[in-house]
Parts: sequence; C-alpha cells; structure tokens
Amino acid sequence: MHIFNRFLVFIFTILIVSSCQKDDVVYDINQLQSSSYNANKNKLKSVGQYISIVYANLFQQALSSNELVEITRCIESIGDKEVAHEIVLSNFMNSQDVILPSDSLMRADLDVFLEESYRRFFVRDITEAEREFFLNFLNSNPNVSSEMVYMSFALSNEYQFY
Amino acid sequence: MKRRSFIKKSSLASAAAISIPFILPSGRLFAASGMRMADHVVLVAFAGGVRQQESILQRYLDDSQSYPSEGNILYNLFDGSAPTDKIVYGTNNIINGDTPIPQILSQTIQNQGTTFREVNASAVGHYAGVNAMLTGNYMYTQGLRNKPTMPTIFEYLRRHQGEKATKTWFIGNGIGNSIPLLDYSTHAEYGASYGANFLAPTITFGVDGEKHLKNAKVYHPEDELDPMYKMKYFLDNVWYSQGKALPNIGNTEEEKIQIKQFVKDMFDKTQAGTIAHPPVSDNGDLSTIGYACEVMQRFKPTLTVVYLSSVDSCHSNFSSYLGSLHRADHGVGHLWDYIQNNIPQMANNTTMMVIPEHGRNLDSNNIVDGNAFSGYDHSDANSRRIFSSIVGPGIDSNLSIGNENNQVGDIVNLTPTIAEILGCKDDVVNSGLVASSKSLFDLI
Repeated sequence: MHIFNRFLVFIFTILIVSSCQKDDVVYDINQLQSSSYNANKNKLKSVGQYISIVYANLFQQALSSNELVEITRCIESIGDKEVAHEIVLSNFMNSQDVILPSDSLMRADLDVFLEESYRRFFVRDITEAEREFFLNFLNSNPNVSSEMVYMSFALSNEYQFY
Repeated sequence: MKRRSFIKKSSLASAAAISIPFILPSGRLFAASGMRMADHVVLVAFAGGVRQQESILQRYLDDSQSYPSEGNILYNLFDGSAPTDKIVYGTNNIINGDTPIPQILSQTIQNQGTTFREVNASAVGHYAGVNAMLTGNYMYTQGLRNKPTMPTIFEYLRRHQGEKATKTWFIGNGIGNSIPLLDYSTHAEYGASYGANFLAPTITFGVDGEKHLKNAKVYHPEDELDPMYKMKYFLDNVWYSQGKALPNIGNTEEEKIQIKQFVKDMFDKTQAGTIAHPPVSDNGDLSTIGYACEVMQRFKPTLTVVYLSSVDSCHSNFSSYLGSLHRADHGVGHLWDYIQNNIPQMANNTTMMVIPEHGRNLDSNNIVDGNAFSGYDHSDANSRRIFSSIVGPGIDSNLSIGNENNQVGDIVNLTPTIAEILGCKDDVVNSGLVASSKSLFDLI
C-alpha cells in the first residue's frame, strides 16, 4: 500500500511537470548557430579593420586613429601582405603593453586556452578536429609559446574575414 | 645484395629525375625558347608627367615661360649643354636652385644606347599611363583604384619564365595614385600568384616605418617560425575547405625570410646612413632610387620597375618641376652607375629603359610659382608626347629614332620590348592580351 502510494505520487508529479512544458515555437526557417564553424564569414576585412581588430585583441584597447593611418600606410607600402602583417604583428609583440597569457597558464589548461583563442580571434567555437590537432601539436612541441599560437591565429586567412 | 639493390634503385631514381622535365607554372616544359638579350631589365618610369620641351628638346624656359634660356637639364640622359641663364633646378647655394648637380655618367645614356625621341602615350593620367606601360594596353574599361584587368609584364615573366617572386620588384615613390595596385592584375589566367613584390621605401623606411616596423622581431626560422607557420597552415587549410582564398604573390617561406631580413637590414643601414643613395638625395625620387639600388644589390631581380613621381609638382610649381626633372636624371645616372660598378652579377648584363608615363600640356595653367613661372597640367595633345631611352647589351649605341615631326613608337610597345629582352616575347604576344605585337626594336 505504501509503495502504491509512492508510485501514485511519482506518476502525479510526472504528469504535472510534463503538462507545464511549453512547446517550442517553430517559424519554418533554418536554425543558425552564430558561433558555428566559420561563422558565415564571407567579407574580407580592409587593412584598417584588420589592424584595428588585431590591435584590440592583443592590447585589449582601441588603436588611436593616427596610429591606424600610419600602420595602414606601412602595410600598403609592402606588396606581400603576409610579410607586411607579420612584420607589423611582431612589432606589436615587442611592445610591453601587449596582453598575452603566460606560457605556464596556457599549458595548465590547453583546452580552455584553445577555446578562448578561437573565440577571441575567430569569434566561433573550436571544432573537435581542430582541438585534436592543436592538443597533439602543442603537447608534442613543448617550446611553442602562447605568442606563437596568437601569431598563427592573427596571421591566418580566416582572421582576414568577417 | 643490398648494395646492388641500392645502386639499381638510385640509378633508376637519378634517370627519372633527369628525364622528368621541369614544368613551368604556365604548364609548358622547360624555359622559353626565346634568346635573352640580357638577364636583367630595369625600367625607370620617369613619371609624374614630363614635357618634351624641357626634357629631350632641351628648351628649358624658352618654350614654357617665354624667357630666352635654352639648354639641357638632363645631362646624364642626353647630350647637350646646360642652360647658362636663370638656373633654378639645382641645389641651393646663394639662391634657391642655383647650383646644378654634377653629372654622374662620363658618357650619356643617349650616347651609350638608343633613344626614341618622339613616342605616343595616349593615356594622360598617372595611373593609366603606368598601367599602359606595364600591361601593354590602354585601360579603357577600368577606373582608378582598380587593379589592372590585363596581365602585367611581371605576371608574363613569372608565368612563362618561371621566375620567383623575389626576381620581380616594383618600387614606387609612395603609395598614392593607386600605384601599389600595379603589382599584378585581376586577369583570370594570371593574377596574384604571378605578381611582383611591391615596395614603397619612403614609407616603409620613413617616419611611419620607423615607428611601426623597425622594432619587429625576427623570429628564429626553425625554432619559432616553423611551428608558427605549421599552425597557420593548419588554420588556413581548415578555412579553405569552407572559406575564400586570399590573393598571394607566392613568395616562398625562404623568400619571405629574405624580405624580412632585408627590411631589418635597411633600417640598420638607414640609421647608419649607408643606403646606396645618389650623391644628392634631397627628394622622394632620389631616396627611392637609393633603396632600389639596395633591392637590386640584395635580390638581383630579373625585372625591376622603379616609379618616380616628384615632377608632378608641375601643376603648381614649375621651378620645383625643373628641380625634380634634374634630380630624376641624377637618380637615373646613379642607378646605371651603381649597377655597372657595384653589382657584378648585373653589370654588362642589364638593360635599362627610361620612359615617362605621359607628357604635359602645351599651354600653361594660371598657377604661378615664386619665380613667376606658370604651371602645366596634363590633358591636351602635347601630353601624349614622350621619349624613351634604352641602354644595355645588344642595344645600338648613339642611335636616335624619330623626331618632333615623325613619331615612332607607342607606350604599349614597352611590354613587348621588355618581353623581347627577357626572351618571352612570343608568349606575351601569343597570349593575345597586348594591344601591339611590336616591340620598340621592331620599329627601328
């Protein structure tokens, strides 16, 4: 009898909970995950946009308009943009104000570091394939620093698009 | 037995390596069949708009300011006596511009080579003119701020001759007038992957560069760059599977390291004051010439295009225009002298071509400078008149073609001319993408 009562209470609770659930509204349009793979980036950043964004990512503050013009001119003065970007970025990396996670912090939790790096630079979540590559790579290359990882993200082609 | 097997396999591998020919980017086997006249070409775009009257016709103020003073202010390029009256184009001594810059070459370019005295240049805008010079086409269907729609000579050279990116350089005096866009075209069969390395040294090594490029780290190639690039290439491969490709002129990793080292070295040399500048280096053109010498010294390019533009001050300051013309001549003299005496790999194996991108008007505008000289724009028929000088191995010396009443040659003949010198004229002409199949040599 006691068991039967408990059973009735359980059934009653289930019925109440399920009866209170609201149906999801479906509008018949495709669902889009804003932070999905590639995040639907299809527009190339201008030199100015690229520099402003990478500066904000590395220094956690906005670039002054004067410096933006000067750096843009520097990039336009070198034809191979990969070379130009690398020189400008490595110049940034020589600054004392650049904000990078320490290598020990990076190594302490690679998963979190990678997830944050993907969100910071690519504005999307890391895929499992990407996670596997980076975990393997960073574990097998203990001398790779957070600066080198940030440089590779900032120089990547995906980072050129929005 | 193992040794015998090894010898057999290595012999087969060697035979295969020898028998498998090198495939050029154009898809053709081996190099172009055309004979090269020289292994290096330096094209000086004597640009900014140069009137025939003050240059090859040597009329100084006589044909522009109604002042009876004639003479040659380009005495590294042309034979002829300098003006003796009202000298404003030199360096400053007692009064501005009163001291002409000493001649560098003991023998003028005219004397050493061939001069086309009267050439047609139908595009009378700076960008359109240099575009016509480099593509062999007039840009009738494209505007400013667009990359050329027809392939540039850089692309022909790299595609059909298999030249590396660092063997083609376009060095400009600044980044105005859309000049940086001329390193490659948007043509579907050519494009970025066959482009030239562009450099505007007055900016790269100027005030902006000092502030934002000079302190760049030079990462260790194996310990730092290699893992960095591996991660970048992984990210790029992932991106390519879903995203768009970026234009890339195709410098190899090794070439990129060379360019970065070059940039670093140039900052050091700039600071030490040891850049190969001309004896007088007091304007942007001459500074650009100095860095162009350094590029040639370091990379020994097959094709170097140097774009000068200071004479464009003629719109509002005729005195400055004369000074810039005189300095451009000084720069050309230095460039030729430097190649012959300081770059053994290029000495006696380089052809230099000097050509303005267009001329300037017959009649002046209403802007008067401090010497009461009137300025000149570029829009009338006189603006379509230019000269061209060529000097180098196999080029006839002291030969003059055409005159004021007999125009011979067109600016679109320049691309086939460079192609002929570097042995790929058939490829260029057969592409069907140039306005004229004739080089300047065909017109002699």
